Amino acid sequence: MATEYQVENRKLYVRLDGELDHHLAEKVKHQCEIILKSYPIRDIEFDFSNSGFMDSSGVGMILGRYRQIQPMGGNVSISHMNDTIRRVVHMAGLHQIVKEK
Amino acid sequence: MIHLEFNSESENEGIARVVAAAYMMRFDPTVEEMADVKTAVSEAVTNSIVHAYTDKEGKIIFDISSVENIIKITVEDFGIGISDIKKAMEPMYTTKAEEERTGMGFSFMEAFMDEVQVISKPAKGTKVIMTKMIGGNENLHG
Repeated sequence: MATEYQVENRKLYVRLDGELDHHLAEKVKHQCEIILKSYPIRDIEFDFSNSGFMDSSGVGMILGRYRQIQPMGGNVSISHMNDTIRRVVHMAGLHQIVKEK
Repeated sequence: MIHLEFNSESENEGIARVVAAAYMMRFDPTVEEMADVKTAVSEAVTNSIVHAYTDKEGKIIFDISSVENIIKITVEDFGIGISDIKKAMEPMYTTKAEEERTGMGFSFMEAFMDEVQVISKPAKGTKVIMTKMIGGNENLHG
């Protein structure tokens, strides 16, 4: 399987597959940039159903997407986090700017 | 102990985490301890790849050993080095903000491990030594 991208009603769903480290974060960033250029995206949702790990590179990538869409009034949300990911999100303060689902 | 040498390719970040996780199994770690060590390893190895070597290829040496239930992980590179270690370890300090680096790497290592020591010399390289007691809480309670 691979990370899946789906656009629905100006919202981009990113269904992560695998550990969100620097390696995967670079790939996701690149793919998001292509999609954001091609579609009128307002919000982004990162779905962690198939990802059980994230480090500070993942935090940086999510923050980067937030900075891209926030000026246009968009939101970033994170769904299906396990406890490990939730802990990193809270330690980094990411929960103050993105929605937890 | 385990002694590994690998190239500074981002695919190897995951391999380093898996090796650390496998080594830890003998200490019957909690899910949280496992995540702590994996995160710290990921941060240290990523630093070597992103900062020490930037876009060049270089060698990273990754060692894991233990004394009783205290594991010691060393990540060493031979890259650009750090001139001001204190500054580099400040939370949110980064030299690569434009690349979406958060400056949280060392903070995460310090939060997730018991001790983090950084030895570095500009143009020579950097060595990060981290230790953590596994199963420590369990011993306290019981």
